[in-house]
Amino acid sequence: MATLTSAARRPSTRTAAGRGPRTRKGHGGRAAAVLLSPFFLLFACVTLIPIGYALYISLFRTERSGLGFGGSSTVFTGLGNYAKLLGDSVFRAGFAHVAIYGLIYIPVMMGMALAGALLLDSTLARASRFFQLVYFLPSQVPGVLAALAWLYLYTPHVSPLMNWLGDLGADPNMNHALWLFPAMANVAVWQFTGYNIVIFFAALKAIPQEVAEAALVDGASELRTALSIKLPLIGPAATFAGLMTMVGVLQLFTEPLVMQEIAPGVIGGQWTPNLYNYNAAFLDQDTASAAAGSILLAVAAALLSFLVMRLTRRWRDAA
Amino acid sequence: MLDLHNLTRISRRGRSKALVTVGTLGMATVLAACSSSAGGSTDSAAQVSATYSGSAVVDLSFWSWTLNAQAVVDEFNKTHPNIHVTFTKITGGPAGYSKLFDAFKAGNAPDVFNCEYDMLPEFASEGLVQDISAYVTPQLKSALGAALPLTTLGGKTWAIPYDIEPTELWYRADLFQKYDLAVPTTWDQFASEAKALAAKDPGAKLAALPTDDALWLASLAEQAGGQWFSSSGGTWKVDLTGAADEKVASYWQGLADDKLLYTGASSSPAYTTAFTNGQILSMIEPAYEGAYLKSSYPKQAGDWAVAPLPNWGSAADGAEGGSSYPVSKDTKNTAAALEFAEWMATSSDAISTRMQGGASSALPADSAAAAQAESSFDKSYYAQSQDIFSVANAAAATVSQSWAWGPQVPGMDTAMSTPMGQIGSGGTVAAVLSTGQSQVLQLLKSAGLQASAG
Repeated sequence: MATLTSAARRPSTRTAAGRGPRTRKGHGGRAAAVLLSPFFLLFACVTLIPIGYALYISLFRTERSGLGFGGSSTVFTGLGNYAKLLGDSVFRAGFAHVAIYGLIYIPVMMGMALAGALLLDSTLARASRFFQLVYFLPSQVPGVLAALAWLYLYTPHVSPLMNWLGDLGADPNMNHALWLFPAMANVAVWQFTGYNIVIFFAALKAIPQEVAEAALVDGASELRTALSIKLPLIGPAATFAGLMTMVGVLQLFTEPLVMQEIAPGVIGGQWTPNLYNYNAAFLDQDTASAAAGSILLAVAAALLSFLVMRLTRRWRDAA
Repeated sequence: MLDLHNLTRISRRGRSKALVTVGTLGMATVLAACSSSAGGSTDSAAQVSATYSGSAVVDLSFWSWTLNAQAVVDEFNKTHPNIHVTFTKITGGPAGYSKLFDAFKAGNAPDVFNCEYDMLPEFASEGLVQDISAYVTPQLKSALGAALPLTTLGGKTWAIPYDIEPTELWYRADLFQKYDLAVPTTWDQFASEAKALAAKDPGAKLAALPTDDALWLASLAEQAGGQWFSSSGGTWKVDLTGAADEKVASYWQGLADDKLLYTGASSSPAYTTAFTNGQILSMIEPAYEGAYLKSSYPKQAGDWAVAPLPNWGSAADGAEGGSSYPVSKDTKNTAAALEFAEWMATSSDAISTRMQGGASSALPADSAAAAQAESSFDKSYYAQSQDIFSVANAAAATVSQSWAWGPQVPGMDTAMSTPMGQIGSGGTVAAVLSTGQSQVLQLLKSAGLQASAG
């Protein structure tokens, strides 16, 4: 976070220059190779090779004939699986579902996390370490358990929450999209707001104190300092956190899988792209479609990330 | 992710309360000596069509989720010194099948496994299990006759059937008495009792419609004379939207629209809670459900009874679920694997071990085995110690023997699950069936199979 402001960048360049010219370039290269090789080895094994294999199997399909009891053969189909998926309205609907979910979850979570971090950073805040820990805790609960816990909280007649909502005159019906989307987003908000508060708080701490002090001396209120000085300075951190959250949303899997139990009429077995792929691979035994679906999902994530980066850079340059 | 699935989607059909226990996979040893003969066996009611008579010990592996399976395997090992079976417990439902398909891909599938009738065509058409037609002797055919059509596809037999599961009406005898309701024998009567109950207690429902199990509709369609899959001339005929299906759909739609049913996912806590609190008086489930009632609602001992499924005017029933034992294509010793499979399905030792403690109320297809099951089963849980096996036996005799399942049932089930889940909140039963119809036709065709609406 030291590179966030030009004020912070300048001293660090000076220190690097102070070390004098680099010596023995070749040695540095070898050291870099040694130090980086574990990363590249793992990266190749768990990322590059699987992606290559997925690309390969996505080009074939299994063919059976007649009643299907005469065995099967694998035939090359080129981009056939991709065309089939893109033509499948269920697969496309999966992207719409994660988009709706993301449009609820990301703004609410980011807004709450930024507000929470700014409050913790305000000069009026007390016991900020304690609250950081408390906010951070839910993110340490595994996603499945969080979803299961909320599943019970969303179950009518079992959960006090549902009883209270009922007493208030609401008729919560999780088996309806209007209730389900916010309910599912709420699980993620509960889980990840605190995590992002901690990240944003760290970014705020990296802002040179004299900048905020200067604003206060100039007569800016606590609120004004937070909104006009601190917020823009942690913009890059917020963008990055938002980007990671977005990629996570695209991969939505656990929550709908668990919530299916209370919303069988909304969440089908292929409700998000990842559920679709999972279903294809493990229930329909169609690994080729699953591979093609995963590649398409990765492409979508890459395109979206690129787009967000471009847009935020343009905004920042304009600002 | 598979364990996650286990935790969350414990399907009614494959309900197994236990989590996966990690067992060792018995490595099939390469042993050459084996033979097939039609020799008799002392502990079997049916004639054993395949026996392993080599002297070297053969190792086999067996995967299942059924209760007492470990005890059954132990009993087999004790009585068969030249075959050693290693048992691994898997979960029932989609997660268990997932594990099996993956094991086949990885080349370490079990020699024998538990496979429900609706899933068998998928294993058979992917070429994962053996055609065992050559081993089906006339004796075996007569013993397992009622269930063999369910494991015979495209003219070939793919597995040894274990049970036949007539769908029945499981009801709370105490609550029927409390509300002064008659046990319905026809669907008309079922509807009128549902209305009578609603008038007496608006909070209580006569029965549950499990919205997370689209295949629940299959046995009801079968009872009404429907047939979802059939094959003729090398083509699959698919018919989920015939007259019988429409009759069933409009009947249940009517009950759901009048709010006479509990509609919800059977795997949800709310469903169990409603039964625990006595808010639902009955469930429409096959014979095996009896044992699950005992483990799910232990405090309701003496309250549950079973009756034949209400019918449309003449005695008829459908079957739901039921298991078979296919033999893996990769097994090193088919004769030994078949001997084990047959022993489980027909031997009185196997049946009495399986019934211990009332752990299974599945009705064996083999009549001698069914009689053994009836006498070994602990009836004390049921109202007035009702003999639930005699009800199941009588119901099984009215199940049509023409029902068959086809490939792509898992995909069909997935597609049907969303409209099924909407029943009670706007969805219709007819939409479930028409979705299944169009989806399975599309899946069959895209797999290269011949299929048409029939």
